[in-house]
Amino acid sequence: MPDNAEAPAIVRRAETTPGAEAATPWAVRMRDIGKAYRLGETRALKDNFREELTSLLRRGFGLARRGRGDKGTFWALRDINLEIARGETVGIIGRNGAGKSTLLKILSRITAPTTGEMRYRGRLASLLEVGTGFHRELTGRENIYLNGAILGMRRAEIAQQFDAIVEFAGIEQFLDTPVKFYSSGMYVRLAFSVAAHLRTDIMVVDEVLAVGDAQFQKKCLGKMENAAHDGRTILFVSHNMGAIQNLCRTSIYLDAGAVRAWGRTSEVFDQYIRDTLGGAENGGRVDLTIRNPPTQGPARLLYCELRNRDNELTSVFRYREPLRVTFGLEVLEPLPSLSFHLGVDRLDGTRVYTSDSEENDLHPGTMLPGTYIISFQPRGMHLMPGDYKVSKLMARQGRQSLDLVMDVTRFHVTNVPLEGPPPAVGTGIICGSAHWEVAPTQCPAEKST
Amino acid sequence: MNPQETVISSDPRTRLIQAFRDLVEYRELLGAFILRNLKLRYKQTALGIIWVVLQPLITGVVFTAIYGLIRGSFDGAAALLFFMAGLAPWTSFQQGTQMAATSLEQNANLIAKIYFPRMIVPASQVLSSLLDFLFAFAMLAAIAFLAGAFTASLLLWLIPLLIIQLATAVGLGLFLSILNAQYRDVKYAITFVLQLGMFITVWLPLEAMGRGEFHSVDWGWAVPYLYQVLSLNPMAAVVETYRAVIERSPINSMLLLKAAVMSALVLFFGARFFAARERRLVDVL
Repeated sequence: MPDNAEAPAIVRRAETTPGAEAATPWAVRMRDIGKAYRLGETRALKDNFREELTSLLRRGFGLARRGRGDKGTFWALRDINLEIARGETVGIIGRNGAGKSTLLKILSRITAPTTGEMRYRGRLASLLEVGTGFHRELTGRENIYLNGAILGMRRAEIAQQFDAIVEFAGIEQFLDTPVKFYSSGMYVRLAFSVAAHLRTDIMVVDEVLAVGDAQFQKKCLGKMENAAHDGRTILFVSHNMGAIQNLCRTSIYLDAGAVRAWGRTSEVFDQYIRDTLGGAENGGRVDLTIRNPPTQGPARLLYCELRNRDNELTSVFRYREPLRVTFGLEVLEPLPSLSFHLGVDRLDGTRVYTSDSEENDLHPGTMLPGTYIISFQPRGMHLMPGDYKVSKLMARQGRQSLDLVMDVTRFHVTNVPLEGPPPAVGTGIICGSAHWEVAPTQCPAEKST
Repeated sequence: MNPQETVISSDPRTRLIQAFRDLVEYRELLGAFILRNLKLRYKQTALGIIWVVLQPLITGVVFTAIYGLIRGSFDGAAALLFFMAGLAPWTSFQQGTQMAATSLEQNANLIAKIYFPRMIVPASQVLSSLLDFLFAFAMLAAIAFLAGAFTASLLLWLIPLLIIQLATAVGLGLFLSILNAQYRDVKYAITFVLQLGMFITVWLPLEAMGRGEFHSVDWGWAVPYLYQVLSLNPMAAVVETYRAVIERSPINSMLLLKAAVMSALVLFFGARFFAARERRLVDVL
C-alpha cells in the first residue's frame, strides 16, 4: 500500500483504480522505490577514488560496493509504491523538485533505484526529449533509422513505417540532406514523427509537448490520444495541466519525493491546487525584495499585494469580485517615462490577460528617487472560478525592462458570487459584462390582445 | 500471453545475464551505432578511408628507417614486415580502445535521455575499428606478397587472432569507458599508456626474448621476468603470431594460449565491472 510513515499526507485513491487493478493486469509495478543522491559528490571524489581502489583490490572487480551511509545523502524519492494498469494513461504532477524527473528516470531505466524494485511488462520506451540521438551530420533518412533503433524499434519495423514517418514530418524532398541543414521546425517535426511511430507497450513521455508551436503541440496530443486508444500504457509528466486533464483519467501527485495523492485526475488536481495555494498562503502579499539573484537596476519592485473590494489583503476572491493588484516600486535615480506591465495566467499556464500602463494612458512623468505604490484594477472583466496567478510583473522604460518578476503570486476565485446568481456556466476563463439586447425583426402582431 | 516481464532492482549485485539479454534485445542498435560511427568518422575528409592505411604505413616506414640508421646495414623488407605486422593490428586496437574509453562521455546527452544497454556504446566503437583493421591487414598482406613472404596461412590465422584482439579491446574498452565516466583522468592516462604499449609491442622481439636470446646482454638476467610480464598482453601474442606466420617460423602455442585466456578474462571482467557500474552511470557522468 502506498501509505507510509514518512509521507505527511493522505494518499487518496479513486474507487476506479483498485477496481481497474483487479480487472486488468498491471503494466508497471513499483515496490518501495527510493532514490538517494549523495550531496557534495564532486568534492568527495578524490577520497573516493583511493577508497574505491582499495576496495577493488580487496574484493575483486565488480564486487566493490560503497557503504551507504545516510550522512550527506539526499532522498529524491522515497517509498514509492505504485501499480499502473495496462492501457491506462497516467499523469504525473508535482512542483519542481518533487521528484518527477527522478521517477521518470527510474521508470525509463535511465538510472537505477537505490531501494526497492520495479517491474514492467512488455516493451518500454521513453520520450524524454524530442530529437535525442539525432546526429547533425547524418541525413534525414540515416537519422530515422538511427533514432528508431535508439528508441528500441526493429529495423524491419522502421522500414515498414518509413513512409508514414516521412509523410507525417513532411520532409520528402530533404530525406537525403544532412539534418544540420534543416530548419529547426523540420528538425523537430522529423524527430517527433519518428517517436510518434514507435510501437511499444509502455511509453514514458516528458514535456515532449513543450516544444514547437501550438499547432504542433496539438498534433502531438492527438498522437498520444491515439496511442492511448490502442491500449498502450502511457506515463505522462507535464506542467501543462490542461493536457494532463484531457489525456489522463488517473494521476499521481508527487510532493517532496513521496506520493501525496493518487487517483482520479480531477481529485488529485484539487489536492494539488489546495496545496499550492496553501503553500502560497501569504494573505495576498508577497515580498519581492528577497530574490536570487538580486536586481541591480535603477528601479526595483518591492512587493505585490492583492486586495479585494473592501481593500483587504487576500488571495481568495469571490466570483465577480473586483480585484486590485498593488505593488511597491523603489526608484534609485530619476527615471523618465516608466511604465508597468502585468500578466495573469490560469494555473495551467494559459495567459488570461495582460495589461500595460502606457496603453492605459498612465504617464507618470519623471519619477524621482523614492518609493511608490502602483495600483492596477481590471475593469468589467471577471475571472471564472478557478486558480490563477499573477505571472508577470514588470517595470520598463521604453523597450528596456528595469525589473521583472515571474510567477509572482497565486490566487483563487471561488464559485461563491459576490452578489447575484452563481456562474451559470462552469466553463471558460473570463466572464465579461456585456450589453445584451433582444430586438424584434419579424414579430407576430400584438393585435390579438 | 503475458508479455515479457523486466525487473529493475536496487539489488547492486552484478546482473550479467540481464545485461546479456538486453544486449541481444538491442542487437540491431549495435549495428546502427557501428554504421553511425563509420559514417561520421570520415565525413568531410578528402582522403577518407585512405587515412586508415596511411597512418600505420608511414609509421612503419619511419620505424624501418630509424632501425636502419641504428643498424647500418639490414634487410629493409624484413624489417618493414616486422614493424607492419605489429602496427597493423595495434593501430586499430589502439584506435578502438581509445575511442571506446571516451565514448560514454561523448554520448552523455543521449545516455541521460534514453535507456538502451550502455555496453553498446563502447562496444560499437571497438567494432567499428574492425574496418580499419581489415584495410590495414590487406595492406600487410600486400606488402608480404610484394616481399614474397605471403602465405595462405596468414588468412587462416586472421580469424582466431582477430577474436583475441577484439575480445581484449572490447573488455578493456568497457572497463575504461565506465571508469572514465566518473574519473576523467582515464582519458589522459589511456593515450599515454596506449602509446607506450605501441612501442613495447611493436619494437620488442618478444619471441626472441622468450627463447632466451639475450643472455649475453648486461641486463639479460631480467629478460625472462620481463618476458613473463609482457606475455600477459594478449596483443603481444597477436603481433608475435602474425610475425611468425610471415617469417614462416614455428608458432608459440603457449603464448597464444595465454593470450586467449587473458583476452577472455579481460572481456569477462570488463563486462562485469561495466554491468556493476552501469546503474550509477547517469548519476556520475
